[in-house]
Amino acid sequence: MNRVRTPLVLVAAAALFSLLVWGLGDLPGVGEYAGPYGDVIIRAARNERHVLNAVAAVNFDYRGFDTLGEEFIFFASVIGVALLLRDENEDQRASTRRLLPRSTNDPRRWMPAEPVSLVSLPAVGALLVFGGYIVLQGHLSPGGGFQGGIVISAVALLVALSGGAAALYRTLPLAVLEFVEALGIGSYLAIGFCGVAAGRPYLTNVLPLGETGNLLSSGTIWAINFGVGVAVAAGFMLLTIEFVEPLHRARYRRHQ
Amino acid sequence: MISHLPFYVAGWLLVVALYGMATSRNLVHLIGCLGVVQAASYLVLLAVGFRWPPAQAPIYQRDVPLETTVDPIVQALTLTDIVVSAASAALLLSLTVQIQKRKGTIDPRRLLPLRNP
Repeated sequence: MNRVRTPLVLVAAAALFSLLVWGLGDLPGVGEYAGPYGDVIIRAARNERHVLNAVAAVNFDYRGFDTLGEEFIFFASVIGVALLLRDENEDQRASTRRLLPRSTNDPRRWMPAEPVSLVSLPAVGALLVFGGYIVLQGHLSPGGGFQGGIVISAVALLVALSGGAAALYRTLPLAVLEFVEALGIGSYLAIGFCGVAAGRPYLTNVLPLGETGNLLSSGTIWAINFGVGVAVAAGFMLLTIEFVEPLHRARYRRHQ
Repeated sequence: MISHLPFYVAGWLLVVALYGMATSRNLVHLIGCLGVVQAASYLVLLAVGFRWPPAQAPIYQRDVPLETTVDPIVQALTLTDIVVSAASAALLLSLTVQIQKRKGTIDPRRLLPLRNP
């Protein structure tokens, strides 16, 4: 089987690579940018939308509908992970709660090495501030809701590392994260309807544009950007918890 | 030739990752290879919108003429691409967890035949 498959794959890969070289070789060289669309956006975005980050203007305004679809792909993936992992997680979560150690000298208590706590606990505050900064400045500087949301969601990993499942239940309850995630994505949908309410197409930028360079400028772009940051932070925290929690549960059971 | 190097690197990444997927013995490794396939698409997108010289980020700054910035549209597409790839990797990894629980292996070659349980 293997003796047939590997040469077959190699031949097919070589054929595909020559096809790609032949096809890509006819494109304009890298650096000789000719396409009109980027230039049109770069010329228009600052005056039309009062943003400083043209990528944010494309993501949350000119291609806002595509990003809405992207948000729902992300939402569907979080739901899928929860469905696949949670049927068992949900049954066993209640029993895990009963297992959670109460006293500090319980051998099942999650006790990370001291250097781990020393680094990860202060890093929680730093990550929250840095992630919040990246989310809020999305329309002014490189960054935005997706990037800042990921930075904030790393907090869940640090909490699991320094406190185990008990700390996750206490500081980041799943019900709250689910609600925040839904709120973030729902705000994107709702902001789209602002345009409809003003008698314009869905997702039209109808909020006041403000003064270019201010924190509250660029109309719906900063609002959608903020909602996306909230949704991505909560969604990736949910993903982290669904994957990390079973490891801790296995640990409690070993000590039973 | 040199001016098309990023395109060829992207093609090479795609082919190498497909080879890795076809010969993979571990589903986690296979999902890693899928990530390399997606990295090839980021490279093509960014190379299409690149402008050299002088390549400036599509962020408005003082003293940076608009004609020197790279294309913001492909950068936004790359961002979309990265988020989708992270989401699909999470979903595939949770499927891998389930396969390990049900079948006791994550080697695709030992999962091939669809048998009655």
